[in-house]
Amino acid sequence: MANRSMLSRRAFLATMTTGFGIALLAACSAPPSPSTPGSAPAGAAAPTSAPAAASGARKQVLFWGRQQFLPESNDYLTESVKLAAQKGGFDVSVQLFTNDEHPQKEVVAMESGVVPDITYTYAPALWNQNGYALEVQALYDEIGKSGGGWLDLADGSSKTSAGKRIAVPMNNEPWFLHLRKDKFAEAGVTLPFKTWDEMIAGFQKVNKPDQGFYAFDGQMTEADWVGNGLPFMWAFGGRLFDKEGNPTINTPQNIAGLKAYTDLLKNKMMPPGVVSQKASGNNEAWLSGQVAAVSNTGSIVLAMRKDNKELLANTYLQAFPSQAKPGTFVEAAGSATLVINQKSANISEAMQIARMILSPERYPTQLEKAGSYWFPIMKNYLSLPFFTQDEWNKEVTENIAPWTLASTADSGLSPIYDDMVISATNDMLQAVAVQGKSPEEAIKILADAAAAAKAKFKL
Amino acid sequence: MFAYLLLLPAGALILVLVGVPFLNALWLSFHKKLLGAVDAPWIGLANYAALLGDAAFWQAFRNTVVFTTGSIGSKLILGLVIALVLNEALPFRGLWRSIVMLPYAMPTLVSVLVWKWMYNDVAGVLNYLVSGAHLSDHQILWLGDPNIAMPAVIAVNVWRGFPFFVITILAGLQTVPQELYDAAKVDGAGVWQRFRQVTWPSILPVVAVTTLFSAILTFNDFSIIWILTQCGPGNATNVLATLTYKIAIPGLELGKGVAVSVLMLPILVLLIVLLNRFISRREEFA
Repeated sequence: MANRSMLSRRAFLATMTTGFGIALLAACSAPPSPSTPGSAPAGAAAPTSAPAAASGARKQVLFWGRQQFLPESNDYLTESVKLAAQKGGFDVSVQLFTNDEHPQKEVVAMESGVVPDITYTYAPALWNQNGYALEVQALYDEIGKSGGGWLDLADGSSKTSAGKRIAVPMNNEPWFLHLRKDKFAEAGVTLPFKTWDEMIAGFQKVNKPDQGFYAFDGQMTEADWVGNGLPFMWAFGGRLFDKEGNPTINTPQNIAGLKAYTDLLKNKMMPPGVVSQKASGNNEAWLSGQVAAVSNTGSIVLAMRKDNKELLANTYLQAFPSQAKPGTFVEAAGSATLVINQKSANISEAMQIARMILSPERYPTQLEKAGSYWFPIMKNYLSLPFFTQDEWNKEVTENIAPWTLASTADSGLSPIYDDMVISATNDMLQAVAVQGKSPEEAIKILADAAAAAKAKFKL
Repeated sequence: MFAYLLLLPAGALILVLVGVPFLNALWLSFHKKLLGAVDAPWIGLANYAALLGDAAFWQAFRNTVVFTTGSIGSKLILGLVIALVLNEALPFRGLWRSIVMLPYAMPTLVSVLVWKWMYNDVAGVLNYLVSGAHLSDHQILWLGDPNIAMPAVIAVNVWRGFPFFVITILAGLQTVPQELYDAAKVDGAGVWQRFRQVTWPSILPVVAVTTLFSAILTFNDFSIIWILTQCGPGNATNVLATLTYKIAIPGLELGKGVAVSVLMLPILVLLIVLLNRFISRREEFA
């Protein structure tokens, strides 16, 4: 009993509250400055990556990337990075993450301030927005020269709207229209489609919804929007941004493209399940023989090369015909890029890695190892036998790639675009496809999201 | 004194692992904090004002209420009925009790992915069965129709969660003295009257605690909805937990995302207070 009276419940609670208050103050106090004024180069803070090695010790470099579809492609990329380290006399750790995991890893790394020295990413604008992307114009020029010059796509995939070169492109990942030769032939339709009207008429002829067979599968979600909804807007002459990087979304052209795309569902030319399909949805629809056409990157061709050569032989590839400019075509393309951390203590080593991956000795084999998913982004490699002798690669290289535009081609890399495609494209498409709103009403959702993103990022 | 000293490590742990992150999150909700950005200016209640003026927040709130009440109500009825059946002298009773526990024992990701496949409009077994039984002449969009998607995700939550109700109610049923039933029978009570006058009052505290505990978990449930629909179609299954994630992680607005979580707190606190009250009453009763 005497012991109990030594510390009353009130005193105990007071002690705990004091401790809690101290812990709270510690948690809420300002974090230590990451840099010491004057110690870092202009525009750069102190290193945030692995600590710089002591004098004489080998440097430790961290490389992050996204896993590709083929393991041999990942292995070859890893080998290139390690080869650069071996030649440069430094150590390197290579970490490749899955498609789903990689974007989360990137934002968490930026939030924590512990980021890789060099990363292979699809979100260079985000790295730049948070102050990590090194200006790499000289490296870009040097590598481009070694490959005979960059293709046009490279520019829009690596430069901000302010003109800062923040990334080195690694590839061209074009989207293309996959068409079933047998189904269109049965319907008396000649491929390729040369005009927009020809394409829509062909879709109508081949469409048999009562038999569970549809003309086209395009997701009514954010998934694969870059290769589906966006080229429809482009086909009608629409653009999402002007040359200064300002959103230009609510325009008659973009509305017409959105209407044409969603009308395919409304007119039962798409399977009803597209309203909830994710990225692999149209791959599955195509591979299961449910549709006559899909727009996708090389992942479907890759899958058919491996498991369904018969369907591959029955597949024709082309770009979307333009409605606004008959005789021309439109197609979107993505590009993986290398971003170097400007706060890294190992910038020189990171550059050596970039040079090695994209060197004339390594890059051609890297392209081949990636199958039909990566296409050249530099001129010298367009003539590789891999891209000129294979029927499908040749079609893509010669007739599709020349029409491709980076999704941010007009504005350059922009966090507004990155922000919009997270969910606003989904909300816009769902507004028409699920909630029955008009394209005119739905386009405002995307326009409002762009305006909000512009304010959010103070652009 | 010694007893308080023994409590100190646990108390400190709770403070560091729960108290500090919670207050830090609360602090964050008053800032315009973008994920990855160093600057986070103080904006007071602007995040809350924006949310309360946003139709998407209120839709998520309504969806959360529908999801929670629909799931809990169904789990309670199903769990109670099955527990009553399993409390009887059935052949292979132990086996049945084990089988009932299976959905609860399976990893969430695995079981929900199996459900996703079953719900698939093209290749799913449900549409195969519906079409085989000539119940519909078209594919049912289990996860693609805004009117069906919510019942579909509730069904999966119920399937995963009803064994918890079964096992706890069954445990409660086994504490009801047989003498009470015997006395009721002597007084001429039928099956329904015995349930109403003996069983239900006896198991009510267990049912209440189980329901409240499950309500807290269901109110916060993220994984089932995210795996099945990712809030679609047309945000028809977007609940507060998924809204928090969508705003904070893909949307990069950490402060605003945290504000959604903070707005969920009053309901959660209410549920926790009720739960504690029931537990205290039970302890007093015991």
